[in-house]
Amino acid sequence: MNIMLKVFILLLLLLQLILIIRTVKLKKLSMKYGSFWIVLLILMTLVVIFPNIVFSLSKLFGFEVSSNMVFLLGFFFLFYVIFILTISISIQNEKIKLLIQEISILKESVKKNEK
Amino acid sequence: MKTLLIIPAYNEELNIEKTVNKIIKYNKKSKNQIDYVVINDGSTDETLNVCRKNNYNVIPLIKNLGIGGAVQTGYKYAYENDYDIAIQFDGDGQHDENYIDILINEIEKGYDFVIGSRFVSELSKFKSTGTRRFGIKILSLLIKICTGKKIYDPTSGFRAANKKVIKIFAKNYPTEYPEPESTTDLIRKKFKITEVPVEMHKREQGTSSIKPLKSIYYMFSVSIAIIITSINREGK
Repeated sequence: MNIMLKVFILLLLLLQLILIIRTVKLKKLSMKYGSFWIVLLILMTLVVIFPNIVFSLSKLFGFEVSSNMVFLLGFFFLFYVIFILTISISIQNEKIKLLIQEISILKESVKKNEK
Repeated sequence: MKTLLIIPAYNEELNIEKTVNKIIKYNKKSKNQIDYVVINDGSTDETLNVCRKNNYNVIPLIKNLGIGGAVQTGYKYAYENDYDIAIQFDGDGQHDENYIDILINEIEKGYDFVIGSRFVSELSKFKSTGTRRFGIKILSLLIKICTGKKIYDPTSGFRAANKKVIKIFAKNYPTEYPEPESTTDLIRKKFKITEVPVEMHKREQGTSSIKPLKSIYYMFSVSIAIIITSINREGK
């Protein structure tokens, strides 16, 4: 890999790291997800510095072009992340529904007792 | 037996008075005396004001939840206030109060859950569109295949539940297309279910919540919901 390209990608990853830390600091991202993204960044950095990891792995699994393996892994990974997200949305919907129901019943009974 | 009528209402300012008047009329002539609760599902029209003006027993949801969440609120209310029977009764004028006694009768006979059905006999003159009847037939067949029990009108929203079922629904009730799914779940849990023939009317005002363009998607997701629900395994 061209050394300039390497430096450029590493800079991008560094930028991404700063963004993650900043978002966690601003309390817009919970630590749980923040550390998940940071682990991912570390893995990507390793691959950029030692690209041979990818080359030998793809040879081992029989990919003709190593980029194919990267795309396949990336695709599966994103699919999995989105699946986890829809699970967490469903759980939150259920919790919000429960809150709306309980608050509405409570509010009305308080109102009746005031009369 | 202490009976509660659950009336979910979303933007029913034109129908809600008629519906509640039906109940008042019913209480005057029937030996059964029933309470009702209107669940105002975050209506954007004057539904809530109409209820307040007439001093109806209403629970206004602080945000719109959709039909499943609204009906479940009614079951929670029934559970908390220790009702023996809860009956779902639409706020749009489709259901006929003259059949309430028949539903209550079946519960008193020992059934856990009674569905007021449009198709169980020739009595019902309600002719919904051909495609809708066809869709209901398919859902009915699917429930038969998955659970072994024939339910003629799985989409009917005119249903009565006893105490055991009230408790279950208060805890767990599907959100989007609740009727077929909740019925399937009750069959799977071996509750005693029966259907009685009822008449239903055309909606008096406003439009139904199921739009024709969405019906294919509706059929698809309800079918999947039935299949998944009928699988005899549950977490937690």
